[in-house]
Amino acid sequence: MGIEIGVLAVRRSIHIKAPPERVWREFESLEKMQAWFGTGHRLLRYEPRVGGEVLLELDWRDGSIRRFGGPIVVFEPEREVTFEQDWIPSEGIEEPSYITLRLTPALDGTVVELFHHSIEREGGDYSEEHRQLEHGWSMRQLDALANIVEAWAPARTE
Amino acid sequence: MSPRTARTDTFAAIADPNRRAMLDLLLARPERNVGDIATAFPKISRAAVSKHLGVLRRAKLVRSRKRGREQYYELNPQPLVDIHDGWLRKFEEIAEASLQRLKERVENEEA
Repeated sequence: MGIEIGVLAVRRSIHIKAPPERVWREFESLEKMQAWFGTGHRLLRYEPRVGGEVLLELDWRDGSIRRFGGPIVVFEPEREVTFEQDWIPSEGIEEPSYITLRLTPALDGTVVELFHHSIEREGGDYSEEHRQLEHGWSMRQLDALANIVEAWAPARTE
Repeated sequence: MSPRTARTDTFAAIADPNRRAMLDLLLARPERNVGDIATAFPKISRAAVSKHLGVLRRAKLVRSRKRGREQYYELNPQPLVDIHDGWLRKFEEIAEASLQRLKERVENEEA
């Protein structure tokens, strides 16, 4: 069954030309997960069972390191892994949102979906939080932001 | 103020094109007084310029300093840097790069 995807959700997906049982092999251990889910950040801990911990770490531009993740709440082989998403230490949200990785057999292969969802659980202005995640970042706005940040970058290294 | 509230304020501040142009102006030359800034925006009143600067100051995107009778403004890009480096961008990176890598691994039987 898996978790119910919360109403406020952001989704990315990919189709893989292999059955779910093959794709799932990549979910079976920390080492396997690190080889792909550690892209763009580092996967420090992955305990593949309900109640197991997922701990991720990424580098901030200012040189600091930030950690995030939480306990696994759904672990269904060949089907789904869902874990809580919060910054560590927490930024003071009410309840963590979720990250769900879901495998569905489709078109002679598997669709893998990655959701960041149930953002409403975080409380506060979850509406704005979701808008920013889903709609707020037009490329134009991101580009404008990148230009300002990049222009300022040399000054920070002096 | 929580980091999330701060982020919302930053977004609201840079949503306005005049305020973005003011940040660009301060980026080009580090310190300017209100008169300098107002001169660069002939189409809007000096009162409106002050109001925009107030929004930017509350969002901590500019810092002001009084020197003599003049108020000087300088850019503080840190809130923008925090967002740029933050979860919004990271979620996209993690999601897209990770799924692509998973596909390559499985389809190319690297595992």
